[in-house]
Amino acid sequence: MTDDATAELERLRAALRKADDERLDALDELERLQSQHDVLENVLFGLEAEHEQARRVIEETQRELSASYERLSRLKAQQDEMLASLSEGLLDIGPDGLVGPNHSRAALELLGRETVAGIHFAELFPTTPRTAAQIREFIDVAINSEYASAEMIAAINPLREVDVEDARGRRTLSVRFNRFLSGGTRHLLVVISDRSTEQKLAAEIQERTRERLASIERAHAMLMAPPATVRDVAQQASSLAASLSHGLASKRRDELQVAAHAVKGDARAIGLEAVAGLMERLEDLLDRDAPHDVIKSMAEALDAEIDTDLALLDRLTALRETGTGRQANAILAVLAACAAREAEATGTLVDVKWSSELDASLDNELFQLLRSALVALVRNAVAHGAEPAEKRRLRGKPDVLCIQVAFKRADDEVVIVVRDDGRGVDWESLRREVVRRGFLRSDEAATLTRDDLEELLFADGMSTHDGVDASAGRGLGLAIVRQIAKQLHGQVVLESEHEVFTEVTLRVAADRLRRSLGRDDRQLTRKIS
Amino acid sequence: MTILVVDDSAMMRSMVRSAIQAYGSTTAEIIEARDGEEAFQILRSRSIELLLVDWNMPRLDGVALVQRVRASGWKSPIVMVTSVHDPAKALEAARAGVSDYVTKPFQMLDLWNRISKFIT
Repeated sequence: MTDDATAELERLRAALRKADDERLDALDELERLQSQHDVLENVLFGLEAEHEQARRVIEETQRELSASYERLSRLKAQQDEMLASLSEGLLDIGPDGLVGPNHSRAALELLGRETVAGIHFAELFPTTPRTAAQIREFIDVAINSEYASAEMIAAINPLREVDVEDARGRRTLSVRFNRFLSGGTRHLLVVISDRSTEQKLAAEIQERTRERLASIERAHAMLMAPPATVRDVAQQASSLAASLSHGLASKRRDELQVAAHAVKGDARAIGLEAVAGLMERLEDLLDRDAPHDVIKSMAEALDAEIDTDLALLDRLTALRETGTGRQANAILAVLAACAAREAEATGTLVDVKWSSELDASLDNELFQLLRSALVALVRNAVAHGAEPAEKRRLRGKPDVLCIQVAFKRADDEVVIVVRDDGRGVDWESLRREVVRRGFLRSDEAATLTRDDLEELLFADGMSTHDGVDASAGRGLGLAIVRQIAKQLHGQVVLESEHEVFTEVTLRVAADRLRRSLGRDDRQLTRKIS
Repeated sequence: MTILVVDDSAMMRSMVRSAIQAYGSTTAEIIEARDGEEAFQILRSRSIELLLVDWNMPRLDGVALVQRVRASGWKSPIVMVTSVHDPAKALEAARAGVSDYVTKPFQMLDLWNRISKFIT
């Protein structure tokens, strides 16, 4: 029994040990699982943190992205606005000759098109096939030539001035090309501007100038001829006109031809150019047996011309009768004519204004001297003062160069002032010129005062003007004026501000004027001499 | 620097020479050739920094010379000085490799203004 009990106890003990072991094992297992859970929890936490960070990054990137989108669209709007507000047509041409996507609204308006992007530039102009081919080749050379300079591109530009006509009307465009690099490839920036208004203005001014020139030349010619002779010739021309309009039957054509020839010669001799011109045409018409109505209308033109001439002659005679003789005003008239002619020859537009406070008559010698001086000064003003209209506009000046010529009376002096609102003297460039011509070393030139520089302008052969032509720009103009001033015991002074004005003042003592007149003013002459 | 002036007219060569000497460099060496062939031989034998070339010349004309010179890899500036005024012809010159184009008759100062940018 005891044995049984002992055995039973032993079995129970063993079972207890086993249960204990199992419990320990289970605890171990629990612990393992616990730590595994911890690890997983850690991992999870890490992932969450990473995820959070990623989310932040994404958000930030999105914010940045939308900011730059905003910036970009703002820039694009600015660019569009800029392009739209430009009055000049602006577009770019890519290496293949095709127009790029960006262009100003004015480009479309000027070219009269809905769109230009993606079209070959040569096709934007309604031209003949030959010129289209020329434009195509020009674009190719302008973009791709390795050697051609900007000046060369400008010189071979076939579209410097091009007439365009379409539903919107006729206009003259000026197209300029500038090369630039974009993304490593060559492009052309094209600037298109409308020159029609400018051209119309230029034509108008030229027409006005021509009219003024004609009337001034006529006045000048008449001033030089005795009034009786002018009247006589006008009378002959007038009676010729009368017999023409009364029908040719009264006189034979060959007689009329002889008369017309005679009047032509006389008219030309005394400077009635317009009458002489009409006579020449008349001679020609008679020679060709022109129909009567043609000759009659010629007679009417002749009558009108003679009326104008006679009216002018009356005014001039009235002027003479007031005892002023050949007035300073006549010189000014000649000068205005000279300036206009000068301007026309160089293609510059000039507005000559003149005023005179002078009532003394001038003798012929003095007249010639002052005339030469003034011609030189006005020429100088045109040659050195002229600037492109755009440049003048930038400086707030009117488009056309204004030259003011004034005769003034000051105490015992006669003062002649020629002032232009042109580009003025570039004193620094003059300083460099002196060195370049080898007159002075650069350290010597640096010490020159404004007075020295002014003095230099009067020296023979000095000029800062970069174009030399037959009439001015040789730097001789001022030398001539100084020479004349010397001859008249006068003075000449130049004042100028770069890009604002140039003013030359010539002063001559009034007694010199009287003496050369030889007038009966001996007391004064004696007092002075 | 050395400048080569190519023209079949001795008068034109001397005018171009005077323009350079009067307005610009007095130190530049100026050598002359009477036609394209002679010019090409000179270009092969010595170093030239600027080439001034007439268009109409015997043996080898200006454009042909420019084409040959550019084909040989010569990269310095070439100025064409010519009485040919046709814009289409000027375009032809540009295509051949001319750097600038001056038409005759010219004022010496104008010529100088056009070529001075190439003269050091």
